[in-house]
Amino acid sequence: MFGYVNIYKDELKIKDYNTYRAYYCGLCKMLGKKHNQLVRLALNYDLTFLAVITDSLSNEPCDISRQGCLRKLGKRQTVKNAHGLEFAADMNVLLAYYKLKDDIRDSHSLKALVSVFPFWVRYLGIRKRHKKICDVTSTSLMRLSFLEDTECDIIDKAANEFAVILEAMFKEVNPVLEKFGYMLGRIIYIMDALDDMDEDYKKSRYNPAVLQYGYKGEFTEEIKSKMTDILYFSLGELSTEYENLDIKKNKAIIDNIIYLGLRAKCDIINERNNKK
Amino acid sequence: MKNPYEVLGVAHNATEEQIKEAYKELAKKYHPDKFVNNPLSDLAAEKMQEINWAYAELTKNKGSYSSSSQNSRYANFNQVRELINQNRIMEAHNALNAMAVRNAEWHYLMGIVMQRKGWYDMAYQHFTTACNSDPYNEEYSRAKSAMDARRTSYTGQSFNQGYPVGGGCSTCDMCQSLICADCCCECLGGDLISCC
Repeated sequence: MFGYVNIYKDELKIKDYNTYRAYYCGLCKMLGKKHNQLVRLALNYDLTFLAVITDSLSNEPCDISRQGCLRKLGKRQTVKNAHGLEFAADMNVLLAYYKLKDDIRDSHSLKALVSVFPFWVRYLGIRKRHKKICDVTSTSLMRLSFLEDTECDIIDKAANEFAVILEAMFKEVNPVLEKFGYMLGRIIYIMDALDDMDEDYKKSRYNPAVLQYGYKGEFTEEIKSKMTDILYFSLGELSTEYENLDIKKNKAIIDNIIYLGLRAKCDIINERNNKK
Repeated sequence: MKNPYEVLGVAHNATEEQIKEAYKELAKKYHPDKFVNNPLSDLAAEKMQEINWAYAELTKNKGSYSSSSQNSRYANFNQVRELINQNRIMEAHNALNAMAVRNAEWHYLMGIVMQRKGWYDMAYQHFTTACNSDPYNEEYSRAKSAMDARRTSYTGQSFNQGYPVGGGCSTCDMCQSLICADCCCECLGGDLISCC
């Protein structure tokens, strides 16, 4: 689920890369400040993107300053006081909490069971602040469970349930981001499903892509072609929604993620599967 | 697309009795009455439709169940188009599902419904089926081409932003190519690069 929304570093200007990293560091600091030190381990670039795009809708300049970093030992450029960071921190904890709950339920992971407590204590407060998003998320996860149990073989249908979660999150940031959030959630789910096809098939785990494409251990030309189609159509529709947005700052970073980063990730998934 | 045996969870050589038992079990589990005021009610209803279809296929007894008939009053495509224009997408979807005839127009309208819901993979499949069934229909071809265009537009934009297509072209590639070109030129009596 995490790790698909990221920059394509080679084509990003250094100043933009530094700004992007400053948001990442800013989110890390915010997780520690607003929540607790342990949840900082769930920091990821996908939620950094949420912080960047939230901020991008306003003209207010970024407040970046050098702050200390425990991990890298020294001072690093860090975004402070950005409106997007607080919300992204809450969502980071929320999604990580649900992911851990899922791991405990599905794979009875001991590691997840041990890690969930610091997230659970913060979840209670997040639930009060963002009741609508939490309700949408738990309903969607229940629906995803139902689709899993009934072996739904339509990728779009399963992706829809995850997409509505991000739709609700982005809508909370700003209603203009609602459809964009849906498209992004959809494509994250699809990338995750396609990426895990082989492993899920071998471990007999539910995967709508395995069922829809009739995957039996071999990536046939037909399956490869369908995978490329679904990824690139979804990217195309996502970019159409993106073009409707009025981005006031950090456009270069977001352009890079949408047009290069996501595409690169899709191609990596295709290539990895082609080698199997 | 699952086959009816998979849907009911029975073997290919199952007896009529076994099929009936399997159907009863599943119908009990997913009956709409069990999902009243439940966030899963629409998914359960779709599952029930699938189970009913599978049972009818295996017993070839179409009179043994009733489809979600509350929507079958929308008997024609014009009414579905009207629903789509009014953005009543769920109703349009239900109306199409209740129809028995699945021709090119049905696939086209289902494609539109899927597109509005954001289910682009299904949308494209339906548009493709519609175009294959009725290749000269401009409305269907336009819908399919519009999706193709958005995909091409994306890859174009991505290329403009610097996405390396075809492995890119490094300095090594250029140098290599120039040396080869120079050798070929010299073989033919010329000299592309005089210092090599």
